[in-house]
Amino acid sequence: MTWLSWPIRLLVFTGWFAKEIVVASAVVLRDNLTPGQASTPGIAHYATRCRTDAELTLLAALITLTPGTLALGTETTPAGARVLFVHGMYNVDADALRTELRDMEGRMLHAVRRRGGRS
Amino acid sequence: MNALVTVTGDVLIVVGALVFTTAALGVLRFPDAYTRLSAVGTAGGIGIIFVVSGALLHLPSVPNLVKVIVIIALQLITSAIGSIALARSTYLTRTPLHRPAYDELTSSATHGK
Repeated sequence: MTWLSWPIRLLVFTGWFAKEIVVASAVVLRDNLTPGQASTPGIAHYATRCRTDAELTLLAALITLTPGTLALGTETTPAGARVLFVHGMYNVDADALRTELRDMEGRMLHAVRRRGGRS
Repeated sequence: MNALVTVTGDVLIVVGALVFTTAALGVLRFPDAYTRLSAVGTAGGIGIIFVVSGALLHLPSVPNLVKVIVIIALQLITSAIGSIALARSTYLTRTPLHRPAYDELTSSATHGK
């Protein structure tokens, strides 16, 4: 069954990501077209659930491709968890940015892993 | 059916142009290097993909499909990674953030974790 649902999950995620791009573009565009800067930039420490470097690279690329967020760097903790440092522009604090990242990461992992699963 | 494909192609091209507009405005109006890099990183990867996909729907053929797939793959691999490398070197050369609301990278680095 996982072989059958894999391409479907990938397609669903691609569609969801395209929608996210449009939504995030609108936020950035509105900020740039109105006077002043409404952004609250900052860098958050995000412990990912990625198991391989390939998953981490893909997640960092997707974060960078989303308007308003930018992956800055990565490190591996002694416990083996892969950590990303993410620059965000439109989140009130680091926890709000982390919530958003966790949602995207979960959807991505469920799509790219043949067996699915978000942890 | 043919008109539907053409209109979908138009929509994709307009969305791609919207992404590029966002990036151009971002480079002009954002306050520091990180936010500007964020704007450029998006356009280089996503904007191109929308525009070439729209162009493919206007001129659908197998050779064009192959070209579009190659373009998308190369853009996704190079553009985002290039932006990340630039952002990383920006941070390593101690470029200051403009009024950060939170910064967990500096606090993590100074604690030696």
